[in-house]
Amino acid sequence: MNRPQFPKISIVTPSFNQGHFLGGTIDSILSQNYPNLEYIIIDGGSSDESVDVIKRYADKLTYWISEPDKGRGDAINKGFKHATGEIMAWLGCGDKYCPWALQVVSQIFSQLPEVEWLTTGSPILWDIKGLPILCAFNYGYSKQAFKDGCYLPTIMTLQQESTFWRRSLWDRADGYVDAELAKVPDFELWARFFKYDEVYTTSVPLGGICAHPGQDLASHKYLSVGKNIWRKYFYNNRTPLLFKVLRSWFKKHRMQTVEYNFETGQWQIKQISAKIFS
Amino acid sequence: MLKISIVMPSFNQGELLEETITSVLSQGYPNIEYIIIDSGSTDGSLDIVKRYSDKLTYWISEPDKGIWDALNKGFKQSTGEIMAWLVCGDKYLPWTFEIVSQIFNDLSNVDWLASSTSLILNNSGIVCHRSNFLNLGRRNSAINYESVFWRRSLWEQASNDFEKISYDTPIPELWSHFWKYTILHTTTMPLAAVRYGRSVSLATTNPVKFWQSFSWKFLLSLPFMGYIAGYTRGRLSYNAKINRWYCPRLLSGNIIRLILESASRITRLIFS
Repeated sequence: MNRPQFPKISIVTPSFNQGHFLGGTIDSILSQNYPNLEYIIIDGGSSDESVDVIKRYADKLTYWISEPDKGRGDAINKGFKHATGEIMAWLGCGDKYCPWALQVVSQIFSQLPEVEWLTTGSPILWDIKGLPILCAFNYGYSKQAFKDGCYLPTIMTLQQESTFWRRSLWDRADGYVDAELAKVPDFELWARFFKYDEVYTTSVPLGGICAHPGQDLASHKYLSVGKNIWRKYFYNNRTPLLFKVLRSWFKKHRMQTVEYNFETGQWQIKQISAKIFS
Repeated sequence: MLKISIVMPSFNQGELLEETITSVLSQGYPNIEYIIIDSGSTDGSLDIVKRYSDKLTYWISEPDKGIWDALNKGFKQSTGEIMAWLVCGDKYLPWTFEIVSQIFNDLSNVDWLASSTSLILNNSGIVCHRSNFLNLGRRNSAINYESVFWRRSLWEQASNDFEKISYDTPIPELWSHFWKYTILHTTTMPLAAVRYGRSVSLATTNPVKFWQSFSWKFLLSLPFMGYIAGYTRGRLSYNAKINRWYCPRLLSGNIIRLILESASRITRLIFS
């Protein structure tokens, strides 16, 4: 087994006029001192202090640019074109990783070649000062439940801020983020990823979204956009309503989780079956 | 900015000591009192403690009678409004003190706080697991000791009973004395991380004996069991209400509630 101990992690941050949050985001990634990191910032031509903040960290960044673009999804696409890493993720401006996130992620991906897509079961919500104000708990996320529409972009969904995936999966899913979806490009990406592979869940909190005032986390707009995406990808696979009801009564959903074995010091895959709610 | 007093008993855990000390001192919380009580270590622990001695409020190294003796010695030197103890090898998280001081500052009726989220460190000090203490706050529950904070007033109230505490199981007995004066408030935010296999396992014992918990109060609560079940069910599945249209799992919950409520009706009939 000749796998690298520290696989290359590529992280892209799209930013636009959020200079006062940008510093915390950059700090949360660079202060982890991960040896094989590729960090890219794509700024959409900000007019505030964003560029000054980026210039402060410029020697540690692999690539950064500040020019007008067509929005968040476009910036993410531009960033991933410059990325070469084995593991990929993007982190929005203001959101933060936990101090141990990159270590845990690199351990899991280097020890388990089956895992192509990793998320956390403990999504965190940060406040403006960078303190956690909520740490939720899910056992895992199942493909079947995604097809049933249980993870539409509301409160309970796969948290994009703590999701990482391999380049192989990204390439198989055509390797792009839909630039026209301004706020929920992640949900459309999950829909494509779920066609190829299941998501693996770890119980370790990895990252979180920042709740700043003026931001509507789960508005009806996202929900309707998400519903349209869901119909587009899973209409043919849609289970009849009666089956869905019966399944939700009697069947638990199968979920893939990743657990640490403290005796052997290795990560291992564990398949669990759990109910999604309650 | 309330003053927080941390007492850390240590004994021959040199390699873990530095990680623990930096996790406390690197938080940047200004109003902190950090006390290390060493039970006469013979390895390199003392050199590490001496290196940080200018940032410690108090430290001592002498043989003692166990962890309870060390804690008592430490808390006698402390003056902070909020008190806590940390086992050598465990870590506080970067946000712990700010959250704790905010909670105790804003909520005057919170005397005793613990986190229901427990993060577990592996041998190299990385968080590798999260476990939940779902019953935390009930009297029979185990308490994850690494994330417990309490007010000085509670400690002074409970200190009347400290002669009764034995040196074998001091911590569960301490919790049981706390239970007499207040209730445990819990938060889901992770406050500390505990080291796997290294630390003492200190579950709480309940002050109420097993047969006492099946008292007449329990019998009286039977008729209302349906409402209680319905209430908790509703609280747990508040996420489900948003997605009800797509996955109507709540129906199964309603069946359980129906059964429990009918049972409660029958018991009410019997008792009346």
